[in-house]
Amino acid sequence: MSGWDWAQVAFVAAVTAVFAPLGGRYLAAVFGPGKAPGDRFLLPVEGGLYRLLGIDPEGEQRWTGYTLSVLVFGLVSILVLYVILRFQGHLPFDPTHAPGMDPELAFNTAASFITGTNWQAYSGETQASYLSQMAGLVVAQFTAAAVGLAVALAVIRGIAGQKRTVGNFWVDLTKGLTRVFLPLSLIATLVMVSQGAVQNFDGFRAAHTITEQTQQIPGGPVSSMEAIKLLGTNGGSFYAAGGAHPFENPNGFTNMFDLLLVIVLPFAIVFMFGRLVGRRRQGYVIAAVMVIILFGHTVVGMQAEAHGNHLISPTVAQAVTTRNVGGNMEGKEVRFGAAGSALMTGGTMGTTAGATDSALDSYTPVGGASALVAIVLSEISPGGDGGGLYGILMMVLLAVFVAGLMVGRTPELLGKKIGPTQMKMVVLYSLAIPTVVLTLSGISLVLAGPSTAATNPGLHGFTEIVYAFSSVTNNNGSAFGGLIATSAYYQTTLGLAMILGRFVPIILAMAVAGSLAGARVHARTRATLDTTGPTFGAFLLGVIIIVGGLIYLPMFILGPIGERLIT
Amino acid sequence: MQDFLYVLFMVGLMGLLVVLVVFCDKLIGASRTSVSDESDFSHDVALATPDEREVSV
Repeated sequence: MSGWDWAQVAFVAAVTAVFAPLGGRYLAAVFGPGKAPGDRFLLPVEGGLYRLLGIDPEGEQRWTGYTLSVLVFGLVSILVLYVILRFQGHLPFDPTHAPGMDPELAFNTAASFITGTNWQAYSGETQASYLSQMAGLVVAQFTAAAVGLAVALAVIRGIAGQKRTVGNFWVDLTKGLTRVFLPLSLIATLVMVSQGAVQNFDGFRAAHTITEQTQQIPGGPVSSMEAIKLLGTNGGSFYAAGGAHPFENPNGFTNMFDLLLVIVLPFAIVFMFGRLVGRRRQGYVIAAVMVIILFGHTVVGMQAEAHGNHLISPTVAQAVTTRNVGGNMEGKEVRFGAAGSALMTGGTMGTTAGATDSALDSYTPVGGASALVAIVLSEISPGGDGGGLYGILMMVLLAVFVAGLMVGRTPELLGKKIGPTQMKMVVLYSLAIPTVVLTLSGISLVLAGPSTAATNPGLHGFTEIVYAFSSVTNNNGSAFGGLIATSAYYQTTLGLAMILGRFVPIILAMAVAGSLAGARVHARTRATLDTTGPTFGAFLLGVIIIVGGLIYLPMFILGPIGERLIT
Repeated sequence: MQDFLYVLFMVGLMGLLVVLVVFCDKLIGASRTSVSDESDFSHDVALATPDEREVSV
């Protein structure tokens, strides 16, 4: 890696270190008791919305009521989006004349965006109308992010709060939209537009090239989608090429801006957690573990791509020179470079966004594995907006329980005892996603049709299939590439995996919160396990790696590790 | 027909998830003993030192 590559890493780290704590402070003010910035203007707006929708903002819900609200909202959202996508050809704002999607594609896309996965089995330029993009997909990107944040808030209240209730889902959802995602997205959109990202309703424009050909240049409301795509850790792009498209990601500045948009908020949510529970150091420890994981898989990926691909002919120069960006440049943008592209990949894989600006299928086995590692560690480096926090909190509970048993102390987190009930939920949580990933991958690998959908033979083809299921089940949504996933089988099974991967962990995390809500808070004594120090942080890191390693190591050996060893 | 099947699939899937919620609640209810009655925690000890406890849930 060059000095410039390291400078980019340092820049991202520095900006995140400055803005994430500030963001955490703001979020804690918004979602904690007392006054918050913007109350003067937003309270009347929110009050009007509550009255319009018949919501009692003072009415608190138990974990069951909160979770059922999440499920009902998810079901209604999926059904509405499905209808929009099916009938977009008959609806307005369709200058590109996109026809209605097929049922299987509409189901896949609706499930994808409502769950925050943003796996895109369609081409945005030609298969989605502007109405679908704006009123369907972008709205889903906003709500998916706000739902993730809301669930994290409910889990915090359950784990640390002193009431049996965990808040009001509709209030959390509304405030997440009005106080966080809408204002920040508006600012980010204007920044993207200022850099040349497209924002219009022009449809296709015909351009006549110097070779006397006619080329159709797509327009569209791109910048507004780009902002929430990243800020909401969604990842779904307006164009099929995603972040590699110059209309969507015009230059090096926007590439770095995109990366910061996707990383800062999940870390800010962790700092918010520390403030809300009254133990900032607890937030620091969790953030530190996330940083170590993020730094680890990102730098390994960058190093692998910067080093180049030994399978490429020696006649192709891969060394960095003043005239050559160097490294493994297959499937990458020259303006971002090999390591710079891998940096974007690392950041977006660790946050469930999956918004790459390069082709993962062309990565070296180690580079591809670094992306997959971030995904299968359950997206906690730092994970999605809200999802990353409640995901790592489940690992914290597991670590507290194991550490407590090892050193002979009562397992406690934030003064609440962790017992068999919580552990049953946490273990189910840990197994839920791997069960879906490995079962559906296994079925796909043995069935004649689905197994041949991988366009590469051998271990690389294996990786293409398991990556797809790992990505969608963890609600990442990035595509490794090379898998023809447009069949009804893949559209349906991938959609199923998205829904299970989103809602089953939410239910189990909420159940843990519900089981701890209102539980007695015990005094801290000298016998209490300290969960706010570096020792616990190192232990937590070990638990995460061991749990992830034990479950997925065989998959990695059959995939990228095997490919690296035999090629 | 395909539309009907997919809608049924989505509704059925969410229905199963509701069953999971009910199951988990039963599990929690079965394990919850008299702890659930300890609702008055106003006297509970502080979770953190005052300087750390700026905002509380």
